[in-house]
Amino acid sequence: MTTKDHTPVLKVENLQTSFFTYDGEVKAVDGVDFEVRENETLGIVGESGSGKSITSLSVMQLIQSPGEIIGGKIELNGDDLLQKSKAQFAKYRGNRLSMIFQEPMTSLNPVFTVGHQVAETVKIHKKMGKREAHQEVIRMLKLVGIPAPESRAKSYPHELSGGMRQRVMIAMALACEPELLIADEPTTALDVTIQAQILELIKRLQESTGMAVMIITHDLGVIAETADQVAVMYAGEVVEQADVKTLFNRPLHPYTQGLMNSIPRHDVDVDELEVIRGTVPSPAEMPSGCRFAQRCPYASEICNTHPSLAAPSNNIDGHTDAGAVRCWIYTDEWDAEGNPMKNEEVQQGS
Amino acid sequence: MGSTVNQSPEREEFAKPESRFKSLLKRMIRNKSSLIGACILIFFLLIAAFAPFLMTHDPNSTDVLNDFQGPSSENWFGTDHNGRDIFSRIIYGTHLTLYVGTVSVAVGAVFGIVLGLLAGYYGRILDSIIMRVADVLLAFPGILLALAIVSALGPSLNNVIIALAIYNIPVFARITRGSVLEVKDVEYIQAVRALGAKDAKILFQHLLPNVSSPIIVQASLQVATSILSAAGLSFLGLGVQPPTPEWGAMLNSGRSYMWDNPHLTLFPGIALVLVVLGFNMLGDGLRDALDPRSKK
Amino acid sequence: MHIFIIRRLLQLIPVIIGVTLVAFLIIQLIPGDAAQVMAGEAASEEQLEQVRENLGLNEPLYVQYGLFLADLAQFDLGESVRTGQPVMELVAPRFWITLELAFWGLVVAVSVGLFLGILAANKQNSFRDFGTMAAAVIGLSMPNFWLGLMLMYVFANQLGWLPTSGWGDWQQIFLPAITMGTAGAAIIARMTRSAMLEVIGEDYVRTARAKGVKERFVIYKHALRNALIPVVTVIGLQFGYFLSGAVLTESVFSINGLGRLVVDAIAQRDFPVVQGTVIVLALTFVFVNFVVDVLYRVLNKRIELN
Ligand SMILES: Nc1ncnc2c1ncn2[C@@H]1O[C@H](COP(=O)(O)OP(=O)(O)OP(=O)(O)O)[C@@H](O)[C@H]1O
Ligand code: SF4
Ligand SMILES: [Mg+2]
Repeated sequence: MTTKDHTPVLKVENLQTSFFTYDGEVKAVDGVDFEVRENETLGIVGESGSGKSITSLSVMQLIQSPGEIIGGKIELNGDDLLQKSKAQFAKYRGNRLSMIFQEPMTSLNPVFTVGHQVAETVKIHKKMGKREAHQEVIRMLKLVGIPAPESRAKSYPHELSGGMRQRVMIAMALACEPELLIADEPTTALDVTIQAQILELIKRLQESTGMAVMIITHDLGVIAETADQVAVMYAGEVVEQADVKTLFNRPLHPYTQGLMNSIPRHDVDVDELEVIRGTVPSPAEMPSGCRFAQRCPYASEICNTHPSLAAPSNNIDGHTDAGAVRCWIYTDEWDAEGNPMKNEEVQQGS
Repeated sequence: MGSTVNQSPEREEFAKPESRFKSLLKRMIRNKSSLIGACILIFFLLIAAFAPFLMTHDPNSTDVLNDFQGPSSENWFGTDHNGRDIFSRIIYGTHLTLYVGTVSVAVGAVFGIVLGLLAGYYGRILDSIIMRVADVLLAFPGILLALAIVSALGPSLNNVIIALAIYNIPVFARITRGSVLEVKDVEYIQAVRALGAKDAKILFQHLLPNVSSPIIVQASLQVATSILSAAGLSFLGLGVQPPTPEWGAMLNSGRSYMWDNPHLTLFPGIALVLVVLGFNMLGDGLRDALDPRSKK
Repeated sequence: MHIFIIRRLLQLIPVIIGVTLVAFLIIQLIPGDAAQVMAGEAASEEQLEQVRENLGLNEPLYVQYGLFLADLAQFDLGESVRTGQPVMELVAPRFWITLELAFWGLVVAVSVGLFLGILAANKQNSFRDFGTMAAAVIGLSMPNFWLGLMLMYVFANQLGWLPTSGWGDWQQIFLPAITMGTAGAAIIARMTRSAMLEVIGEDYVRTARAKGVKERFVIYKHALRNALIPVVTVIGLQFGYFLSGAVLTESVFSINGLGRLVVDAIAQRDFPVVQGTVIVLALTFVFVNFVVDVLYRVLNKRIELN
């Protein structure tokens, strides 16, 4: 499905977003790189607080004070977004790139009908008149599978279920056929059966429009079902990036391995379940070396130096297409330090 | 789609417990409003305490030859229609204002808190009765209830205090009850209950401290309101009677001569605004400092 | 919704009964012989008996209250002890004056309060925000009768722009309305500001931005609409407070409304008039609160669900 030679729809380079709080700077996103291509879905996964939402809000330039994008480059089909003025970028939001959020219950404005809220998008970006916009609203509501769209358009958000509201959010986001859709935990707040329906809907709409999708989640199941490419985030950084098959078959980063192992599997005895110990370090105690070092079972001397995100340079079982990983184990320096760990042991997670 | 990456719990909950009073004091100092309010109030408390030393004249000695003098080095705020020194009268009146405000709130708060605790803790009929009565008293807007009570009791300082205390009771009853309902079912209180503590002990030793924050805030704001109301009653001639130098009464007698002698009403009014401002700012600041949402 | 209104109306009944009871009991608070107090020191025994007879003071308390309620149900508030005029006749014309005064006070409070509150919220923690909120807390701390005196001195006496007192001409509206409205404006400004700040952090405001809505519309359409809902409650309460604030404002500006009536009646120990006025003001307040409650429900569509 991936077509690597295409120019990416979204290209994020060295994105840095910080919050300037009383207690000092919090580097919520610290040097993140990734790309999303046409018709491709990038899944971003990671623990709570790892910076997934801030990454996606940065792309939408919805970071509110005291937060600020302090560095990096964001390109949408070659268009440098951070160079746009506020007014220019407002024309892109909801038009060329859209976002849906985790909480469908609170993401719609309670005092306007859902029809009004969907219509607002097309009125702004497509300069449609009232009647035309209404037609468009009905079409979109139908498209996202809302029954009786004519009457539902007149409903207020509180009159709809969570799943219906998320459909409305999707209708709103997709009304202008964006090049990129960002979905920040779109199903977390919903029932399991509804979750599947919503993911199915996003997939179907992607197939018909060819848009690029960025989907953010805690849930590896969602990743497995929807993503083509996966970025694993930890403490504001991408620690591993690979296509979904590679990642699930052979997770490289110790953190990714930990995530995989925390999924209960039928073929593994529950007692052997490996859960990652500890929590994400707070900004104050962020190590200068590898940020995962405190929790990493393989940490050693060299890990006090910050590893960079790179393709594994030492040969792992002959696999060299393994995306990129931020861990010393997969570098020649690891052996040079005379580390006790052997690569075969590192692979035990797969 | 079952399993998810473990979500770490809210970090804030694990913040180190600090002595409540110390952390409140810290936040009060960081909060400019409460700091300014407290400074204003300390200023007036000092004035009230040292009034005998601060007064330049006898506040009640009349001097008809020397009436309606504008502010001068002899009479800093000028003299009134009876030639009395306005500065000294304001200094002397300070303790009256503070007294009326704090005592009426203190009395109202004591009754209100007890009723609120009972209503919130026992619920049911007791709650209904107490809160319906509170509703009725609160149905008289602003100064009206105090006005009606004083009209019957007759004008005097004590009657104003009684009237304002009654006016304050339902305010405190309501706020206490609301807070009690919020905390009464938390595990800690339940545990104390399960251990067989006496109701009175639960109410006053465990519940009261836990609902004290909103009460303290409200008390400060109520003092401000009560001082305004008391001054209003005096202004209408229903409060402290002349020649007592109460600020509201001074305004009332000064208004007749205001056209040519605005200083008769200007200075007592400014004093009144400052004291009320002090209580309002203290209350506002305390509310912000005590609000768990604004912890950062 | 209908159920809510009916339930709320039923809740009013005990409050209304309670209000009349409290007003009725005022006379019982009078120390000593109430009839003596009302008729004056020099009254003869026959005159006293006359007063007692008229007020039914010889009956047991519950009978008195029963009669009081029965009269009230027929809009009969009794007669003035001084002039013998029906209290209703005294109250009715003045009621409109006071309402009018409260209305203009509300106009000042709402327009100034909303304007300043939005201004402050738009630039949180700026000098403008700080200045507005400082002005608000000072406005809140000012005795309105003193403010009235000062306004009168400056604008009527010194500048001569506006009449000093009275009611009827449009020029006579300004000073009393500002006097009444200042504290309300301060409260509404503070409320609007905090409601706006709260709403600006809501998810749906972020959604509006994510849709590409211009910042101006994000604030004035998406945020303000929601922020106004709690403000409505405060506005309603303000109206009630204006009814009592009128007592002082009317006294300052010599306006012949209910406030003046009650103050004069107190001075003349004319308790039936005091009772009648207090009841009318309190019941109006109760009614206004009821309307505000219903309005709040209508505006806040989310509550209906729960
Ligand atoms: N307003 C803020 N002020 C200070 N720090 C913030 C703020 N918002 C976010 N952060 C920081 O940014 C980090 C990343 O937050 P983010 O919301 O991106 O996490 P996430 O990966 O989306 O987590 P979740 O799975 O819980 O949504 C947080 O750990 C927090 O430290
Ligand atoms: S760099 Fe070192 S500490 Fe970090 S994940 Fe790799 S082995 Fe563990
Ligand atoms: Mg998030």
